[in-house]
Amino acid sequence: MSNYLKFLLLFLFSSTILANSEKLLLEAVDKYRSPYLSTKMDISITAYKDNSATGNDKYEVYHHNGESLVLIISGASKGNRVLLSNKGMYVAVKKSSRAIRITPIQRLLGQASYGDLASLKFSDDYNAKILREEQDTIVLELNSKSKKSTYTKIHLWIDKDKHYPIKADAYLASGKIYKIIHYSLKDNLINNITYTDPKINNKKTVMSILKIEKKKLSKRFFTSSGMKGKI
Amino acid sequence: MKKYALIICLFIVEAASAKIIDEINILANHTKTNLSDIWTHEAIDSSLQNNLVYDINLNGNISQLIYDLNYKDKENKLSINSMYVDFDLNDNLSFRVGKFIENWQIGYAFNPLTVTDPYYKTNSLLPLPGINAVLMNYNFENGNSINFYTNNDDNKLNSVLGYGYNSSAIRFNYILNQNSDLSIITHKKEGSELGIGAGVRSIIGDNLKVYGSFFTRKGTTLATHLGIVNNNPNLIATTNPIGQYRNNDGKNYPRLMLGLQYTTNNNLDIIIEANYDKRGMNDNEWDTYKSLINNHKNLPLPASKNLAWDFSLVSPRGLRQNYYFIRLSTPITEKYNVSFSQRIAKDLSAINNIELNYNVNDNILFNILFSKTTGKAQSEYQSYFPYDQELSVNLVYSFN
Repeated sequence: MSNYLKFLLLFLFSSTILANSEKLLLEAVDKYRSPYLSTKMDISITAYKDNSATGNDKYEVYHHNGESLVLIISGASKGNRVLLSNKGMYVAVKKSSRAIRITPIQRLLGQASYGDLASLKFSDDYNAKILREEQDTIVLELNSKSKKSTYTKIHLWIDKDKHYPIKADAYLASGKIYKIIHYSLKDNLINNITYTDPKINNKKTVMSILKIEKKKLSKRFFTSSGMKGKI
Repeated sequence: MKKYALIICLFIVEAASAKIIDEINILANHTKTNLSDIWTHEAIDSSLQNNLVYDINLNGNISQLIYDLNYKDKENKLSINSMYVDFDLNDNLSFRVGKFIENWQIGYAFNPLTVTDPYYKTNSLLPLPGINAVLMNYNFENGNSINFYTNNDDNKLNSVLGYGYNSSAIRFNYILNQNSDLSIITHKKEGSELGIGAGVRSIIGDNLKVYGSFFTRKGTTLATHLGIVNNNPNLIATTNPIGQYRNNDGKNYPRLMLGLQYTTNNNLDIIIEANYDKRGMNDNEWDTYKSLINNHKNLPLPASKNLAWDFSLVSPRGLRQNYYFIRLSTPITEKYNVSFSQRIAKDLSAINNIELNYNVNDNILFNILFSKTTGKAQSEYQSYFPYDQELSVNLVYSFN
């Protein structure tokens, strides 16, 4: 076997190992979101201006197989539901008898968007590669697998030893940073995610995960025609 | 009497904190008529008064039974708008049984696929009645789904507005890709041929959605005027000339709608739709209709009943074949949302709506909607549509 061929095989082999290790790394990060395959999360989102709370909304989020159903429990959109799946994104307004498809910008509006609420596992939505290693952290570059992903690209800082997420910069397709995200943990699970807009210094939004439990909904709830059903 | 007892029981159980009432919805709706010189006649004056009605809705659920009760002050009538249960046979197959609204529409203002929910509301705040029906829903593993729907509508048949018919329908939903889906529908209505339709919607880029739908069947049950069918503007009828003359004429009556929705980066939402419906009047038929009205306007009683029969065709949905719709809406603050919409006829007359939603707190929502017709003299919505202004005030109290 020529040296060139050996080199090529080694290169291919090491690339595969690296890709697999990056995938495993991302799956390790995901374990800090939920330990269950099908999950119900009670979430509270508080908006702050100059460190004073200006509003608080509550949500129930059901995840299964990479699909998410968001129930809006309080606030101006109370009673509405949002479905994010690999078949599209839909909103069912409470006073309407049907669900409508929504555009990516409708998903993103608000400091913590429906996409932020619905995203549970990075590994469902993004491919990872190691960008660099710093003193105590590894920086991953996550590129969206499909348009279902909330952001086009994410730079994610994770702890070098335990692989829990610390910070992320979320980018849109234009290449601009859309949000800066900080994670905090309690009992080995993420309990607070703080979103800030890099252009607005005095505002932030904190998503608090109040409760996580194992719960599986029927498949019809993850369809546009069945998402309004009684849970 | 049983219905009143049911409401009282619901309140008692709610008071005992069983939380079976989700919300109460109180609506006051005032319409102001402007008869113009077209409809000013003793034959129809009495049916066209300014009108103030109150409507109360109560909805919630008792375990898995979901209900919506409606009380109409004007008719002193309590009715069940919807009452149904959903159940899953397995992870893929589910059923809905009871009285409910099944909505297969794609558009906002124009909906050729309104086969399972034929009722039409003049403003967004008014409740719609459900229909006794069974819906089967089967979800395939790849995300596609098929629905089978059959109903037994016990409401009185209305051939002008097109509701009250028993019907069955099948819909196949096909996910084309993550941004687009297609639905194909067949619909069989009692006394009619089988109709077919399709709808498609697609997301383009970050901000734009485009959509469209069509439906067609041979013949239509929608009523029209005998004078229009026979192209006889001089017809003076002795019995009601409004009837279903086109149901077995062998002609296709297609309906087509195209629309787009664009949401700007700062959350201004723009919807534009165009609609064609062959069941409406074309230019010749419209001229015949206007001539019929003109000829009937000055007839003495009892022949003047012809004018009342002419008038019975008038509907906010419109009499013609082509209409357009535009809506702009945006949140002003987190608590306020405002929208402006126009339903525009071919002669550029329009029904204009301004709606304000005020989210007082998590439990109280306040809506106000003002509607006004505009257009040139002798235009459809300005002169032939007699409801000049409408003001609706709606208070929603949520118990949860």
